[in-house]
Amino acid sequence: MVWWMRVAVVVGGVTFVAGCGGGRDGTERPVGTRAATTAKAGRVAATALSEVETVRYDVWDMLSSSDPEGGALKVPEAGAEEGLWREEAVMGAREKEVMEEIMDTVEAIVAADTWKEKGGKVGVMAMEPKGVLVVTQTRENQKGGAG
Amino acid sequence: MEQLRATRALQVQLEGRLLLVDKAGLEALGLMATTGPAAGPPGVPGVPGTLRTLGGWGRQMKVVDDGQLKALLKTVAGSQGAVAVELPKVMVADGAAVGMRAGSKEVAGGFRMAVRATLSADRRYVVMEIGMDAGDTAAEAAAIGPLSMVSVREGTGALLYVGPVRDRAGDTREGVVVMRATMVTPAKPAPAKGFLEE
Repeated sequence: MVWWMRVAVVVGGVTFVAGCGGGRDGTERPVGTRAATTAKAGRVAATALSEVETVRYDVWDMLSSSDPEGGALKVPEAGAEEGLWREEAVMGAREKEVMEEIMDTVEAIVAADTWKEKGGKVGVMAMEPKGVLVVTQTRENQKGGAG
Repeated sequence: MEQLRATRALQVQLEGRLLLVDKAGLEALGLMATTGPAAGPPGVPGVPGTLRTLGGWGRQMKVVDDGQLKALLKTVAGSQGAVAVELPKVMVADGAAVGMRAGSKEVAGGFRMAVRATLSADRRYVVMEIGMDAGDTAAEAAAIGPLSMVSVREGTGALLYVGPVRDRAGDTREGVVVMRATMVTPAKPAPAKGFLEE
């Protein structure tokens, strides 16, 4: 299960963000990072915690298959309810592969130097099982790029 | 994210009908009431008027363009007792699958179908993997058979013989699915009207 949790502490004008979460590879990845802070000659040009936000994006429509196993097509079983039908939308291997591509693309085109996986200080992405991309970034980057 | 979505937004619009006809109606559509182990050479996919025997299972199929489709449906509409059940019109991402249920008023046990639509690399063809089921007995499901793979030129459709289908009155009819697949991109929006509305 992919998960992410964050707490923030402000000490001497510097914001520390500490958290832990599951990486895209499914492994738990502890995170304890001083977020987006640059001290220069008595001036702290910090990215305040209030400027960083976590947003959940439903990207299921960009994934490639609605089949949970990414395999055989399943015909709906008999039932009274008419109309469109889809099994509980849980990502299979194929969907995870596409999600990885989406995450790589976002990392490459949106504030590329800010992602923690690339040595940056702010950006974190994780996937949830039902095709939701969870992005922690500055509000500006959420609006201008990730959003 | 919206920009990214737009660049990846290759979708396929699926629209279709389930036709219930008698033997004469089936012949008017150019199909024969045969299902079972495949016999004879496969046809050429994507060419209007071609009959194709599907791998491992003989299922009559006919690829048709819009003009042919309208003419055939007009012919069927004139057949005695012919019924056309509208299937849900749906937009799916390239490679995505969708299931649908329809025809519970016309078909005993209702009609169920699942379709996965995948665009070819040159985006000229749509490969539809189609699974169908009707009725509520294993024997009825066995008569309809396994999944079928149909390749049609983008923007055209196919007639696919379903098999014998029991209607609500208990009579056995010949089921035919008509399915049209149209590619939709940000630069090529979905047609405003369906193929029977134009």
